[in-house]
Amino acid sequence: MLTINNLHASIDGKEILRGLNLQVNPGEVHAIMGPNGSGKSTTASVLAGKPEYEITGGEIIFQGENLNGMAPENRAAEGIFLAFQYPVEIKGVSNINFLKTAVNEIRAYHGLEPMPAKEFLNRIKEKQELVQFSNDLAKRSLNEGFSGGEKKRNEIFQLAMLEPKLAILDETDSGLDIDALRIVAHGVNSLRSKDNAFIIITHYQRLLEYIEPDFVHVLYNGRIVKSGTKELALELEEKGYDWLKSESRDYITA
Amino acid sequence: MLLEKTKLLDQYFDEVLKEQQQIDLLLGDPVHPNLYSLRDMARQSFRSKGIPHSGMEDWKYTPVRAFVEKILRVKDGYPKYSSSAADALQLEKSCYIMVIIDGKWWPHLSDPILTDSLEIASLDQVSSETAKIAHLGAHADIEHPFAALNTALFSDGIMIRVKTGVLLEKPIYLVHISMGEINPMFYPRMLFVAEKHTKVTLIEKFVVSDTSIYTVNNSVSEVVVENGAEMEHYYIHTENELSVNLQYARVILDEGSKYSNYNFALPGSPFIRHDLHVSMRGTGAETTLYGMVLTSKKQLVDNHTCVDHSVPDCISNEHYKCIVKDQSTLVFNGKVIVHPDAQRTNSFQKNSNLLLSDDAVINTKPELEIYADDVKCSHGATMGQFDSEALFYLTSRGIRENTARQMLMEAFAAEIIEVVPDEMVKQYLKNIMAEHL
Repeated sequence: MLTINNLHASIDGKEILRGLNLQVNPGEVHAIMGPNGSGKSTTASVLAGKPEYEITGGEIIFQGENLNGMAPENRAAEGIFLAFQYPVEIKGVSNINFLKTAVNEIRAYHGLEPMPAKEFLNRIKEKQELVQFSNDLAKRSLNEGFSGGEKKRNEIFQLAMLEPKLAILDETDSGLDIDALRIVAHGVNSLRSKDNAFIIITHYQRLLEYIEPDFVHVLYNGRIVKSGTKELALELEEKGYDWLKSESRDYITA
Repeated sequence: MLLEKTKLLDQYFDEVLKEQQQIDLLLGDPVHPNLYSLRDMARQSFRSKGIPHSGMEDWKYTPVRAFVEKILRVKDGYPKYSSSAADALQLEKSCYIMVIIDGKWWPHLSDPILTDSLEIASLDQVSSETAKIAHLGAHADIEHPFAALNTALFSDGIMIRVKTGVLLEKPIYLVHISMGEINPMFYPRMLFVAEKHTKVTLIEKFVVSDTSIYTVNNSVSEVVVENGAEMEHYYIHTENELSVNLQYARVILDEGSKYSNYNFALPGSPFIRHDLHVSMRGTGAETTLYGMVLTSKKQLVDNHTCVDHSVPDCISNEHYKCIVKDQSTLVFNGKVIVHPDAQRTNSFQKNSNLLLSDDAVINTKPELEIYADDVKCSHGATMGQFDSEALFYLTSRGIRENTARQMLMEAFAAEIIEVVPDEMVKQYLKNIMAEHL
């Protein structure tokens, strides 16, 4: 589904990703962990096509297509979804209207008619329950005045509505209490299927207790320095990231 | 050449003023017993100042002369507007419609009016002279060059008087059509009086017709809201590139009255200058001024508002939001004066702008003059561009960039549109805004 080859990316002339490689297949859940500043959020932003980032080398192949230079809206229409670490508040745009526009613009991209109102509303109702999102929240301005937990639940709500092939969760667990974490995890788990894939970017192992990954990768200095299964996450939790620094130095010099 | 043109325009007004003076002498004074002396003062005032220029503080960013000058060339075949008919009457349901062409009211094109609650008449046919004599010419400041010009030259205006105690359910909808049938420049004169304890909604919409030529509409409104009365007043500008608007309104608020003004200007007219001057004359009066301006191409829209607190315990609230595109220019000047006696005044003013082009210009200036000590006053002006984080958020959900920009503009405008109390007007504004964003 997704192949990242020797990806280099920079922002404001500063190189953040320095030869990232990753292979994600349908049905898989990948966790990317790593210390602050290792390039986790950059990876998420670059995959979603944030214009501020420049790809200086390598490639991202998604379903056989090179994503380099593809606009964010087209990536989304092709099936990439980024759950933001800091969802943006947009006063004056209602949640529902926003979702309706997104759903229908993606349909238009695939040459489909707008979704009938009834079907759309049914889907809203169904997916709302998944993340215990109230009607009141859905009707309000996009994320305006939402608590941290409500914003993250809204990200998963949108994910459920748009049904992407590849969902990237950028530190969705940050700022969540245990109840909100459970709701978010439950949402993600019920959306998992053999046809879609998830990349879960996180600082802590905690989220991975609820969403079990197939693979865990450690990102450091803009590249993946270690990959393994979920046991690796436990190991990281226990040892912290400091040991990586010496190990990766060996890795780089080796 | 330039000098010659300048002279031509001054000559033009000189002749027009003289002509009107002769007509007044000949016909006597059908409109108002003191009109002759009032006109005299107005003429002198206009002659001493002339068409404003950029050396005058209130006209610093607003080169009005160039737009007025074009009326001299209309006769040489200035291109006529030839598109579909104006969208003049979209609000016709559930309103009293008044059709005003080039400043002249056309009763037979307008709705019949219930005379026991409301009087609508040409100024020369007003039945109760009391209100007219008390207010006509009493409030418009003839130190303002265009208020002076209008006062010196208006022929027949319109008076709307809501009679004491009447709560009018249906809005009064004035459709101002600029056609330039007789003259490319005309001088509409309005007098609106909401008598004691009345409630009224006035909607004024400015349009052109499919046979319009280049016109300059130089209007003056005097608005009086008496004790305990409430007025909702809308301005909606949807003219086209042939229609220039120089609008002056002075609003007088008596004790415990409420006046809300909603001022909407949409792309079209090359030049709109609005002077809106609200005087709080009775204690406990409240005013809210909302504005939503959307400019494009080479438009210039200038809103000069002034809120005058001269007595205690009044509230004023003002918020103008502007979206400025292409090579357009926006001017906002918001003056608030709190006189020494106006203790316990609450006055808030905000002007927020979205600047969407490198070639567009915004000049914004809040002006507060506070001479009382026990007051709460604030003002603020902001200038912004599209929030790139918000744009990325929307596009990352599959929304095309153009649509996303439109959503953000609508969201910006929503804050003003959403406070519009009249549901019919609100829906109408949403629709026309969407067309233009």
